[in-house]
Order: sequence, then C-alpha cells, then structure tokens
Amino acid sequence: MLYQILKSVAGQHPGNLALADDKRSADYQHLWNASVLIAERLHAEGVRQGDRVCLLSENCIDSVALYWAILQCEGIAVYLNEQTPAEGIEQIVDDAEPSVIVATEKLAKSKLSDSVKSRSSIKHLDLRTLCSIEPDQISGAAVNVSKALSDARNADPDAIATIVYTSGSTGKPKGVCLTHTNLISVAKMAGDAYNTVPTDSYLMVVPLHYIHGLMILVTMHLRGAGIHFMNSFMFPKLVTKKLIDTGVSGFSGVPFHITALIERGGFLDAALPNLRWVGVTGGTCATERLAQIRKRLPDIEIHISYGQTEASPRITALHPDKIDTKADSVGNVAEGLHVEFLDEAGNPVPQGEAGELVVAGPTIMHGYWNDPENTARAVDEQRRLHTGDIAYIDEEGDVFIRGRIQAMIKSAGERIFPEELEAVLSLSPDVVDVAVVGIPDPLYGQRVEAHVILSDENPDTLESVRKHCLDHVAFARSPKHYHRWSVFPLKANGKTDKQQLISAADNAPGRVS
Amino acid sequence: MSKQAEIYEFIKTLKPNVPDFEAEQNLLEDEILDSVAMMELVLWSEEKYGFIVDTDDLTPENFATLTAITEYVEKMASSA
Repeated sequence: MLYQILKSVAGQHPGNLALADDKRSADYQHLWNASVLIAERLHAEGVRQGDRVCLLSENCIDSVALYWAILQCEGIAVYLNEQTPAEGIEQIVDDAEPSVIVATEKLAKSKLSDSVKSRSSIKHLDLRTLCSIEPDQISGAAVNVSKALSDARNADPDAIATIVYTSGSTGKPKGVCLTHTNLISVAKMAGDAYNTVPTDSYLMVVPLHYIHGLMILVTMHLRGAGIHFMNSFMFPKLVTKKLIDTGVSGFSGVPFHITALIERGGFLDAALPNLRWVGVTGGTCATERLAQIRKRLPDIEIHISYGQTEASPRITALHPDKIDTKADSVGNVAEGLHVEFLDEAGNPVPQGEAGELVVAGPTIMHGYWNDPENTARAVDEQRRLHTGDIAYIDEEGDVFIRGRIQAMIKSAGERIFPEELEAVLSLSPDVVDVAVVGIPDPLYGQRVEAHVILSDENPDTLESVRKHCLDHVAFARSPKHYHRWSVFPLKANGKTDKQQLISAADNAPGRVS
Repeated sequence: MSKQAEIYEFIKTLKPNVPDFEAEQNLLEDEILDSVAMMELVLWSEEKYGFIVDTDDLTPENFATLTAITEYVEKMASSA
C-alpha cells in the first residue's frame, strides 16, 4: 500500500524535505505525523475504506498531508480542479458521491454551490482546521496509527486510491479510478527514468488534480525527495527565479509552460547549476524550443513522455540521449508495459505500420467510476487500454504518434474534445448550431475556436453565449475566439465541414464575422 | 476611448463572467486573471499598442491592477 511505503521512507529519511510552499516547509517526519493525525480525525468523522473524500484547494502542504491521510484511511482521494466553475464541480460531486468534501474557506465560498453544501450525505470540513496540528505533535517522535484505524484497514493493493476526473467526449467528466498498485507502479517507472534519489527536489507548477502532478507527487514521496510548489504561472520570470532560488534538480510542465519560460521568463539565460532534468508532458513541444534548451543549457536532460490519465499516465518516454535525433518520437514503451497496434478490425498491424495503440500492464486504470459502459469501451477483456491514438513503432522500439481516432484538441496542456464544448454551447438558447475546432498556435499548441450560428444578430447575444460557456467551463478550456455564421458550409454527407470553417475567408458565403 | 477603457473592455470580453471590477482592484488575488488570460492580455497589448513586453516587466507591479496595466502600457506605447 502507498502508506506503507511512505512509512518506510519517513523512517529512513525523517529530516529530508518533503514539501515546501511560499510560507512553510515540511520534512518527512512532519509529513508522516501529519498524515496519521489527520487520518485519525477523518476516521473519527466516519471515513472508511472506499469512501470518497474530495479535496478543493490549490497545491499546498496541507492538501498533500490530507491526501496521504485519506490513503491512510484507505479512502479514495478526489482532487477537484479549482478552476472549474461551481456547476462543473457539482457535476463531479454528483458522480463521485463523496462522504466528505474538504475545501479552503475561499474555494468553499466560490466553488461549492448551495445545493452541494446542503446535501445531508456530505460532511463539509475546512482544510486549515482539519490539518491544523500542534507543532510538538508534528516534530515529535513518529506517530503510530491507532488500533481502531489499523483494524479498519484491508490492505488490498488493488483497492482504488484516487479518482482523477478527466474530460470526456460526451461532455460528462469521466472519473479515472487508479489503484495503489497503479500509482506504485508508475512511481517506479518515473523515478527510474528521472534517476530520483532522496537528495533530489522538484518544482511543481502543475496542479495535483492532473495526473501528471499526482504522478510526480507519488514518485518524489516514495523516494524521499522534496517538492516545492509554485501555484501561479502568470509571471514566467518569477518561475525562473523560483527555479534559481530553490535549486531544484527537476522541473516539468506542459508545452505552454516551457514556451512561456523560454519566451517570457528568461529561462535560457538563467544560471541553474542544480537543474538536472526538464520534463515535457501533455502535448507536443515545438522541436525548435527543445533545440534552444539543448543549445543554451546542454547539461539538462529533456524528458519527453506520452501517456493518458487512464494509464496513470505514463506509456512511453523518450530517452534524453535521443532528444537531438528523435524529438518527434515519444520514445520507448515504459518497462513492464506491453503495447500493440491494431487495425480497425482489432487485429495487430505488421511492425512499423500505424494502428491504434493499445497498452496493458500494472498502470492501467481499474476503470471509470460508476461507468461500466465506457470502461468496457476503454479497457477490453484482456485488460488492454485502447488509447484512441494512432501510432507506430520503429526498429529501435521508439513510438511515433500520428493522430487520433476521435478529434481532440490539446491546448495549453488541456485535453479538450470538441463535442464536449459543442454540448455545453448547444445548451444556450441563443445558439442554433455550433462547431468547435482547434487551430495551430505557437503558444498553446492548439487554440480553441468556436464557430456559431446564433438566434439573432444582436452583438449582446454573442456576449451572453461567451458568458454561458464560461459559467460551465474553465477559462483555459473555453473557446478564445468566436466566429459568427448565418449558415455553415456542409460536406457531401450533410455534416458541417470543419475544414472549410477553419480556412474560410472573412467574406465567405454564410460568414457573418 | 481611453487606453484604460480599452484594456477594461478587453478583459471583460475575454472573461465576460467575471464581476465588474475597479481600477485599483487586485486582478490576481481576486482571480480575474489567470496564467492563460494573462498571456492573452500581454499578446493583445503588444499587438494593439505596438511594443514588446520585456521579460523583466512582466511582473505583479505592472499587471496586478487596471491602473498599473494602463500606466505601464501608456509608458511603453509612448516610447515605442
């Protein structure tokens, strides 16, 4: 179980830094003691094996101590995205049916609807109050778990540890259930790839409700390494400064982060003698950017990886030695995984030909929460995850992604299905028809744009449609530009021609603005 | 329209669901802007007013309030 490994790490490296935010830091003794003491409080509140506990907070020491406490209770931890509007949070709460929601005071006010707050099945706890512990209890000798809590445990490694909510093409979020075994396995893969040792430290800018953040958290903590939090990426120069000040050995982000650091953060001119590796995840980083880093900071290893939340997420990783010659590949299949490439009929294609990448191994999710139908679509009887990505593998075992079966937009690290935004926009009474597309963009990878036919020509109508979308969808996921049409160009089969929408001139027939 | 009004209107167009805000209100603490919106604002200002936001200038001092953004943009636009 994850908590058993944490116990052994805390026993071996009690004084190592585990976590640091702007205000405080915590070593492993502190983290362990806090996680046990908070777990006892959760147990007293009635949290038992398999109960969901939602966490609504920015990355901070308390939210991680609480995460470990939920695992100590063998509960299921569900980090909520604090950027999601209250309606979206309610949808996830409805699906996860938590027995407890723990939130910061500020987010409880702004992100939990009255309907969520008034449910009798949910206990609402304040993060600061729940995690507030006397300093002598924190720094004293290692605390042992009480008999009551210990007796309540089953220690089943295949029990679900976490649900990570991710976007689905239907507009309904999917809860990816990851077990203790899933997370322990992926932490080993990632820790081996980054050569993580107990003296290492890492700067985390990615929120913990994303699988990449969670994977890094578990990877670092199962090896006794430290994590520094930086929750804002608004001012890239300050992120560079934080990299310098903390002297971390590792950093990772989505291509948006890497581009912003290089173009707006002075990253290439910074003195970073301790920084050993930079990871790029959640999309393709322009090879010119990678080449810039290689040229100016040649001692830094660049780790490109590919995966999906459903695979905890790591599926492949490019060895840093290949970055100069094979930056368009996502690299070798992670150790312990088995991949195949299938044609439309589900048969393996010959070596080197492209097919749907399917993957099996110890990191493949348990399933989607409460959703056997979609689980059966994603994971077959042989426990193979069907990724929906079209890819091939070369003689050296390096994988190249060539496309997707279903359209998906990757923008600033967000995975966005056009259908999910189209479903949200269609709910507006002002929208007659809508088509959402992704446009290549140097900063975001892809930029989300919406083409709409509205019920009238009034300019306020478009404003109300924009507002409607942002009431349901986080800003980072919403269309950045709207194009108005009176009628959409159609393909021969009568469906909207998205290629024509994208390439249409301003005065194209049917186009209003 | 004044630059301040133009910038206010741009932010409101970007995020029409945020409440109306005051010139001195902290847009970072009150979560009117996030990292993606900030980048949109920077790119828009550069194109609209014809200057480049220097790496060292992209700081809370210059971008936390509407007043600060306006002062910074006016200073840069006049010297561009």
